[in-house]
Amino acid sequence: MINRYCILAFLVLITFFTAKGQSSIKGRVVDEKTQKGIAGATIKADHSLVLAKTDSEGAFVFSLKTYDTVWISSVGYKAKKLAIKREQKNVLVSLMPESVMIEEVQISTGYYSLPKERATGSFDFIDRKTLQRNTSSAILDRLEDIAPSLQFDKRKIGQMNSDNNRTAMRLRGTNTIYADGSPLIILDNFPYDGDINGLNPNDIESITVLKDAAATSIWGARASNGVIVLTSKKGKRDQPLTVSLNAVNSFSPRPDLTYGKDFINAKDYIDLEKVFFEKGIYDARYSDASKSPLSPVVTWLYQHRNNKISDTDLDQRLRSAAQIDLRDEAKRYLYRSSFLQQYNVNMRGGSSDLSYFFSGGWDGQRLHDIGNSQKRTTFSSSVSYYPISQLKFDFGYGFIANNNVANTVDFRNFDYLYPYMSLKQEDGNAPVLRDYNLEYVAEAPTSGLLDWNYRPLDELNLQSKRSGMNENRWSLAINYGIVKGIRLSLNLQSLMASTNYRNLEKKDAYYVRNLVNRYTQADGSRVFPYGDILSQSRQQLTSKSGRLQLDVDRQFGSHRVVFLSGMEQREVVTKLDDYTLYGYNDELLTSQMILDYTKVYPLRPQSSGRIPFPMSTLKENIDRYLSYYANLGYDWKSKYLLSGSVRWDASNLFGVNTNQKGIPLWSVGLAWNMGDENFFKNDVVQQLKWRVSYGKNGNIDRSMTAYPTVSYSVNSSTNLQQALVTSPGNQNLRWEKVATLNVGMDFRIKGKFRGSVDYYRKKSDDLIGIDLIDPTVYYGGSQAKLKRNYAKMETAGMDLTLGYGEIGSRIKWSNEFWLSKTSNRVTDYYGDNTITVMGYTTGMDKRPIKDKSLDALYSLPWFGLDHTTGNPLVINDGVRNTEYTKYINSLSMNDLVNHGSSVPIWTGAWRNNFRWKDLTLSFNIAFKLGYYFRRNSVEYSLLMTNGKGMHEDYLNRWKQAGDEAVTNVPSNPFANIANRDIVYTQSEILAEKGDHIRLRDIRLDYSLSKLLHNRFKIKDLSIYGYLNNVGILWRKNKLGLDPDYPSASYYLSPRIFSLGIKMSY
Amino acid sequence: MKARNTLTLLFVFFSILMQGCKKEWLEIRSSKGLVIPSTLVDAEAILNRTSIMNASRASPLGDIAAGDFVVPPSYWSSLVPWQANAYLWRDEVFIDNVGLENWGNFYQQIYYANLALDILSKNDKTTDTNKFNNIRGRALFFRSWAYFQLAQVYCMSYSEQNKSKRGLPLREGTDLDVKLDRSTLEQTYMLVKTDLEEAVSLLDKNSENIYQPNKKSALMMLARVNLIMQDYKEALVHSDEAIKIDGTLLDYNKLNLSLAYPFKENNTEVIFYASMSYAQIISDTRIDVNAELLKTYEDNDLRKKGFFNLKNGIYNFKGSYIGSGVYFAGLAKDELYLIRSESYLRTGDADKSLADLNHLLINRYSDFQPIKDLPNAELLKRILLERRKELLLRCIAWSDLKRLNLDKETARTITRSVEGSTYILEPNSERYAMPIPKAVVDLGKYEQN
Repeated sequence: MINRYCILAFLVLITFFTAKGQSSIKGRVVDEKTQKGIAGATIKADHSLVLAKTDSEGAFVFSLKTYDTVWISSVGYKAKKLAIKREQKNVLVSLMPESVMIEEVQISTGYYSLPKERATGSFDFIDRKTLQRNTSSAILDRLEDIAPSLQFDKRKIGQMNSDNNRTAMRLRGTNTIYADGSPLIILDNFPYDGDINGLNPNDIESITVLKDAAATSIWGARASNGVIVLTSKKGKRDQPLTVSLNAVNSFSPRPDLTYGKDFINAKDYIDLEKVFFEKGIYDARYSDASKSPLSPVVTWLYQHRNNKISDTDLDQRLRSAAQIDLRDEAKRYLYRSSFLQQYNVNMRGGSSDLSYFFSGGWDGQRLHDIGNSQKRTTFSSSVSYYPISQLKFDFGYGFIANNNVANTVDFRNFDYLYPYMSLKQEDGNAPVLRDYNLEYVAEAPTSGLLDWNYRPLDELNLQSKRSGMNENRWSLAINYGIVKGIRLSLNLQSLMASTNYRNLEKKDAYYVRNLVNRYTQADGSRVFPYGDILSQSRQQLTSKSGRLQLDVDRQFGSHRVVFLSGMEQREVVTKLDDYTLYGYNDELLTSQMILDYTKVYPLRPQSSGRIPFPMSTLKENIDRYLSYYANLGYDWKSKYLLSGSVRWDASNLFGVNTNQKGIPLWSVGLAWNMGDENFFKNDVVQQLKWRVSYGKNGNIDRSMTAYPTVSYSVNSSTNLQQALVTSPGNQNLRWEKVATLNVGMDFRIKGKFRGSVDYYRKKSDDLIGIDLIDPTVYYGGSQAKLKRNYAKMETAGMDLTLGYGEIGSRIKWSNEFWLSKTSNRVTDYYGDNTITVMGYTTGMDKRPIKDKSLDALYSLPWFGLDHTTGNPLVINDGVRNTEYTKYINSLSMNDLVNHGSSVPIWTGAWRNNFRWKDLTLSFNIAFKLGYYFRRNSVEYSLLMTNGKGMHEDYLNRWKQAGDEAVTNVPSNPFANIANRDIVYTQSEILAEKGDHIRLRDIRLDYSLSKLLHNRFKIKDLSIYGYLNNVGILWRKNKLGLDPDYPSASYYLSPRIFSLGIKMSY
Repeated sequence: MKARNTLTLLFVFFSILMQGCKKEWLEIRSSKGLVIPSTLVDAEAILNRTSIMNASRASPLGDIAAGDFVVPPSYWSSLVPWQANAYLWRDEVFIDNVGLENWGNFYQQIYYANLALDILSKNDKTTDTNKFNNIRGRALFFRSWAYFQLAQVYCMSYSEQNKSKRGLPLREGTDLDVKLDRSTLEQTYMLVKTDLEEAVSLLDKNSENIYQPNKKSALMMLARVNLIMQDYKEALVHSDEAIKIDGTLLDYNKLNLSLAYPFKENNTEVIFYASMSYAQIISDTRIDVNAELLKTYEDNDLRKKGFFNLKNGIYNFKGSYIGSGVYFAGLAKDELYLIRSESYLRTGDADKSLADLNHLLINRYSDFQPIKDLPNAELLKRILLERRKELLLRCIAWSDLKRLNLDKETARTITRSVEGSTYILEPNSERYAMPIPKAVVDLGKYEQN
């Protein structure tokens, strides 16, 4: 609706400015660079009516009727508006070739933008074309292997029971221990508080990555991880209306469930269970009071032993079970091919005093997991209005509406696994093992209980987990030129996002039936209501930002001064409330909440308990920031550039002391355009620029508080309210500081070969770390430790980018290459004596140790397998034996093997582009080098308890004396031996080198523009195909593992095929 | 010209913006879920945390060092280092971080008290002056209580000569980035005294329970501090005032002393509840009370039966006013009479002194014949002996030892024998100030004793 009105308004304006008259106009259209005539350029009255076309020399003639402005355009050139006076001859119109314009890279920091040539800092600029190569619906995904020195840390993805299934981003490595290490993301002018992946990538014009201090320090206390600035598309003045359409469909086949080696085929697994059964490993659990689950095979074995089933019956059952493969079942019933549709339309254009951009998009995605889907509708708009030449108003509005359904059943999260698990049987969906043994579950209906089976495929329809997100963004900017070169601007932005989660477990869902059954009393009465359970939560985020800024840009002879200064205020309020309703009826909207939550009931199958109280939470957070900043740029003849910036931050997260001290964060940068010096000027090296910058940025750990916090309880002796200090707060809590030195060089040789080299060193100070504290100052009981600002670390590395413009005559080849190195070292850390040595080998959590990398991968040393038993060996008092617990307890840090970094030290990509006539082929090759990961292997103790810990390595285990020479997989212990698994699974032999080269993607574009030129009023039309995640070209490990997902059960990076069409007129 | 005007205007505009909303705007707390203590209710609740302020917090170090008990060698070698070392007054007491609570527990109390005082300083006094005063009084009491206890363990006894010796690091706020130094002994005691004096003026006579200090506790504490500082005049004034408010004593004749624990937690003599943290070396089932001291309890002294439990030839202690194996370390009225009695005597009123002593003892003995006509020197000796007998394992013996050592007449040399060696602690030895835990000295860069 809004679009329509705006277009209407625009059209009215256009007609308003048109005048009457009729005369003949003659002229010529030339290329601004070469001054040669452009053939086939069109002269239009508006976007529809073609008045004339130029001939082969670029000459044109047309008769003017009622128009006084015309548009002159040609493919590959920037369109131009021309004001026509009566009776004109020899009009010369020069058009700027678009290829030349792209050279002029305008980088944006969110406070100001400037041509890259005038920058002293280290920036990477990613233009629209590069951004549009990838068809992912999430903007940040499109940066992977595109943006130099931006790493996507996927170590946590795909791990079972991983609570943090998120990709962490690192720009130029990491320089914090406990605070958030991901870069600050800016949309246009302000930090983006919403969900960045909700943005429509089609609305983004370009991305500027700010890397060094000179680039980022204007962002002060939040900039030490680097800054990524997204610049959204806008209309331009004096441009005809352009409508662009983009439609892409992407398809990805069913996931490969055989990728993960964490599986043992049914036949071998049944044999294994048989042996465990014979050894009596299940005896304790069989017929225990809690009705512990035992796999079907084990249950049959017991039934057979107790003469409940015959030999032939057992045999037959085992034979048929051996035919089943859970992965096949899951692939068939739980997964499917995924399908993503993206449609986008946008309009942009502008008159002399108005420019506008409107965009609407719709995405729909069917995910791999059956039961999961996502839908997104986006709208964004921006209108700029220039009532008088010095004054500019910008209005922006956008919304995002997201609807997600996540009803999937993930077999990897089942509590019990066995490879012969089937999900379907003749009479419908098959039950699988869950909380209790199968015999107990089978008896349920006879003892008056509800069906107690868990059927995963039923659950797909018995739960409804939906989330909806709505985000609204408004912005207003007023920009006023007071006198020449001095402008004052006011920017306001507001964002409101609300997310609703609705989780409905229908009354027949296992979750509900299990609760009802557990609380069914001996007399058959149901204490827990047999009805749906509804949980809803609502999260609301409101952010308001305001900025007042003064810009000065003056040229005094050869001196140019660019100065800006301003203040900024931001407030982010997040609210959360959630509740749960028992006995909910979705038709009548009633619930049964009046239950006795205090009474202790006997439970089935054993023990007793209260009805779980339906928790409701309320949370409210307010973050406020106040900043003052200034930035100065000075250059002399564009040869010598100097820049400096300071920023002072205060926040209610910090303590009073920090806010009052006001030590600013700052930077200085110097650059020398040596290429412009007379003594250097030559035709080969056209640009040679040296840069050096130094400065300090900050980072905030939001989990800390400046003020003491307490928790309340009732004192049992006095019956009075009492408070326990949970944290002493930290009045001096302050931002972590990172001092960055950057030395860089940019060059361009013969116009086509260009590149840059940057070396950087970051020294982080005041990092939040676990510190020992004088108990006189604060004593929290037994240990004198406290998290506070004191730790230090160093990060160093280099970035190299090289690019070669198009070469070749028929097939034109161009390419971009980048290479980044980064490594870090903790330089000051007291260590935390509460973490055991084993704590450094397990898990992915940060385990900082002084003088070691934060990303180091530690393992236990490996001493081989015992010759006679196949047990892994350990060393105790210099003797190899199998006393695991003693060994574990005697370990010291020096005993651990430090492999090296678990995050790639070297990363890079090589993007190639081949153009032949209207066909363009491009592909990107990415590599990651110099790091290690730990792979999975068999874990016997888990195998015995819940069937997890399966791994194909089981088949290669030690079986007989002598096997220790050919295998490192321990023998089957047939008993649960404490710490036996851990000395193997955490050992150095399971650490693998992660180095690999990957063909990231291939894209083929075919442009139909020339074919359709000037027909159907179409400016540009192309179709394209895109293949993402093509495959790994080379890897160091011999196991076929993708080092990005070493512990994933199924391949998380499947190929994605996309087909799209792009059109504009 | 126009440009300049505009710039001036701009400058003014900016300045206004900068001044406008800075302070209050940033002082909003960032999370509503977390309780950031700020109200009177919060301050009171912090001081109500009995597990920090009262229970099992007092250090047993003094009583371990004062040594009114014996430790068999076999048992001694199995002890935690700091207890074994303190028993022998070694130069090094604390190994690693073990035993840190003997310092930390007190400074935790001081932190809580300071936090409460911080909160009060940001609250309006006039809305509920009485409540405000009481909370402030309690906080001041707790702070001086902790400093006094610390000074007894880690500082030399207070005297004119010792005034400039090392005192404690005095912590008066809640700022975590503060660098503290050791004050002088005089500064330490002055802080304790002034805090208590203010507390006396603020507190109500009675409180809701014995965990909350009141005027009586503050007065008695002031009397105790002055006695330890040998300012007997002041000690007399305050103990007298306290007794006048309430001086009821327990009559041991009326108690069933054969019980496992004859005294109740909330008995009439208790003014303020505090208890000692557990130490294996003096635990009620292992402790063997010094035979020499035991001899001083006469047969008609009810305390002999009420305090001790003969088991396997060992005299265990059961006389805690907590009524369990946890040792009482708070304030009780029996001590108040002993303070007044001694103060009367030392300020020249022997009759009143004797009267006080008799009043106490009549409640402690069966068939007690009031003492008459005792020479002053003898009377003093008796008072001091009764102090030792009455206040056994109440965190006071070590302070008395130190104080009385200053006077040759009352000085005692104490000895220990463990594993064939004999250890002697001369009066006024530097070792009367115990070494501060090593972790504290390392982290806080304090001068060690």
